[in-house]
Amino acid sequence: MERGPSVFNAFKAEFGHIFRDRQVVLILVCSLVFYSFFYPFPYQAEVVRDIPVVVVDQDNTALSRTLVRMTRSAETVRVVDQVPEFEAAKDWVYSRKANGVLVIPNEFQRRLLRGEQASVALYADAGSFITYKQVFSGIYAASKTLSAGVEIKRLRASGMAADQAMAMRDPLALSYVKLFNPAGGYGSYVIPIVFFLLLQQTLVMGMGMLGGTARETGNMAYFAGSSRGENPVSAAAGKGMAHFCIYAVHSLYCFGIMARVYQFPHQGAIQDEILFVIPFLLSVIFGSMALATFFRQREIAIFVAVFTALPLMFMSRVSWPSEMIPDYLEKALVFIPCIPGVEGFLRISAMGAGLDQVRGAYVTLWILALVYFCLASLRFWQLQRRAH
Amino acid sequence: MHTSAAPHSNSGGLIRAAVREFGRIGDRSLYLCLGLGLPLLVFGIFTALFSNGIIQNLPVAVLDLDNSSLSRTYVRMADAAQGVQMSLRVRDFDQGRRAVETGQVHGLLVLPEDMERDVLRGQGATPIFYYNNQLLLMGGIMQRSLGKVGATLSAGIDLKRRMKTGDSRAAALARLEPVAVDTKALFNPYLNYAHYVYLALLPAMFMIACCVLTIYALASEIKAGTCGEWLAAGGGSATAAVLGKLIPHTLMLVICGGVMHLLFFKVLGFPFFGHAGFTLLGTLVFIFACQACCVLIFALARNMDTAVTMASVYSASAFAFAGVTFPALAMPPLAQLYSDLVPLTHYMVLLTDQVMRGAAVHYSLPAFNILLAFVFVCGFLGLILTRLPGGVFHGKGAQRV
Repeated sequence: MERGPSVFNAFKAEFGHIFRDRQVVLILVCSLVFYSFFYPFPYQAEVVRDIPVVVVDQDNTALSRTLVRMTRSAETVRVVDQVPEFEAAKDWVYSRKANGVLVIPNEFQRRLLRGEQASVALYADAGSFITYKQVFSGIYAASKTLSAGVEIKRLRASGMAADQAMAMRDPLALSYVKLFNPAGGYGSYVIPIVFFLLLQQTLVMGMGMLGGTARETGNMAYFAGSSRGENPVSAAAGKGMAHFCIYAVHSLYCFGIMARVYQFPHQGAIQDEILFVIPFLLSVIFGSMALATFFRQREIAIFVAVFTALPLMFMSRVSWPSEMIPDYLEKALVFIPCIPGVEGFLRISAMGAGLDQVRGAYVTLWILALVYFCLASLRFWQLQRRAH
Repeated sequence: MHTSAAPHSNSGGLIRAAVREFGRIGDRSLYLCLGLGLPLLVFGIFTALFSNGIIQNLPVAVLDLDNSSLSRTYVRMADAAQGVQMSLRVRDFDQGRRAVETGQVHGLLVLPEDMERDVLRGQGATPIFYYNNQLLLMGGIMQRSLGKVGATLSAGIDLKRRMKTGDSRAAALARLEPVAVDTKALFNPYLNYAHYVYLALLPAMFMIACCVLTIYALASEIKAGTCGEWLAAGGGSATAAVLGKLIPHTLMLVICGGVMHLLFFKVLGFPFFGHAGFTLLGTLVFIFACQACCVLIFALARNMDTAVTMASVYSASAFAFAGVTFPALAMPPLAQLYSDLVPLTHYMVLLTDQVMRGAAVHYSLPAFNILLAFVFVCGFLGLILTRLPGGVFHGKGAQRV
């Protein structure tokens, strides 16, 4: 039996364990490349355009047709049909061939010409938020354009300059500046979260399978590092280092290469990103290592990862405001590395914050890494003792 | 055991396989965990997360450079708006930006110098709202709330000016906005994001439970090397062995699905317009469809690791492709094609039709039929494959499919 620094032995032995298990190699080494294309695949289109709408023009006058024309030229919607009756339009919506109905009532033109307010009705499918927003903004823009045309013509007829007329119409126009994610795309918002989850969940699966297999087959030597009687602390450290090497490369791939491919908004300092990812990886690795000691079968690792992925996605405070998460849940979530991980990393990379501005998340991750390292060592020690 | 199979009594094999499976469930707690424990736990988490409903009082910082009565009114009205809360007053822009970066607030409202003066002079002023659009959902909500405040104030000022010149209120209003859009949000009248995500997340978790439970039940026979014994219990018929095995699991999943519907009813709280019987039938067929897909995966994979991995990826990615948070029509064609190959996509159509839209049954029939097609096509293919050379039942005394 070889002798040497026991951390290094455990480090070497862990690579052996990984590469002898076909499924574990697939999960820990190869799967990330596949997943990094597969999961973001539906969200390629940054902005959703051409949502189908149906128009019911009951007025059928020059002005109503102008409004229809303006709707047709709106970027976010596409007029798929024009029907005479609202009932027919409803059928389009129920059979999911359209997401909105614009109804221009009788007397539309007559009211406008008389200087009265004419209203149109928009029925928009609110069952999906992105389509609702797009339908609303498309129709709203069209009617605003028509409104402004009518109104500015009136004001200018009374001898007013165009820009003065504009200021009159909306004296306190609020202007919006998107600080981060300026394109406002769904992809650049959701994909970074997906990457953090992938790094975490693949580690839970891969390391969990290694631990589960060891327990299933009674190979308790696995938890001792390389040879019998190793000290559990160096076994945990050595194993951790092996996984850290693999996942450092994966992180580089995700945040160095794929982040460019998907064109994440990028503002942060690279050294801050690297410094932040290190405790994230360590806490996930030691967390998975500790968790793996509880799995009695290798498949359990996969089940755990699959059942937790979707809830974690929605509990990372990026997708659902932390103000809405019940207190007890929020406290429990601190123990899951990807939660502080996503939040801190996005602040650095997308919002240009420095490490000191995400100190809370950064320190949390280091503490988690330390706690999980101790827990893993403790479990190794317990399992070794039970084996003897 | 192998020879005791009675080829003529298929239903006998079915019952024996089911009884054998009940015994296995009693032996392993993992089955109950996958079919009931874990999904119900996750249902509970989602309920805690989303039952609060409408998002309100998102923290926003305000930088008031004008400090006039108009700007103070602006801040007061913004504070009263539902979506946002003016939680922090900052002295300069940098302080505000830092507050956004550290996550203390989600946006910064800047009211410019001389705002009141410019407005009174009729020149107009432009308050600026800087917000964190990385939080996509919250960005939209803050924008909507503050936009309304601005528009209300704007309209008030404009209206006053016009009424001074002698217009009547109605005429002034008409001149202000000649064409008004009266928006009616169909199917989700309160624009409650929580409701709509909740309605999609539970079925997504439910599909994961269906698939993971089924694949584990099937593939654990390969791992334990008991396929021959299992087939014998089914009387040598692959169909009886597989269907019999799935009976107890179907019961578990029906309970799980029932709880899901109860939660919809309780949490979403809006009147159910659809056809209840049809919705429940649809859920049952959805369970069968997931099971059939897993039978096919089981037959293709032929070992535990591959089977579990395939079923996991298939079911865990279903939510992303189901076109709920992101509309299917904006996906690349290949993604649309793939999303059609996942039962969840069609079940979500059926479910939103019935639970949210209150659509007549005939609108949901295409989705229902596609789910039925999953059951028969995948189930049939899977069963055939198990008996072909290389299949799990091949050479184990299988007498028929």
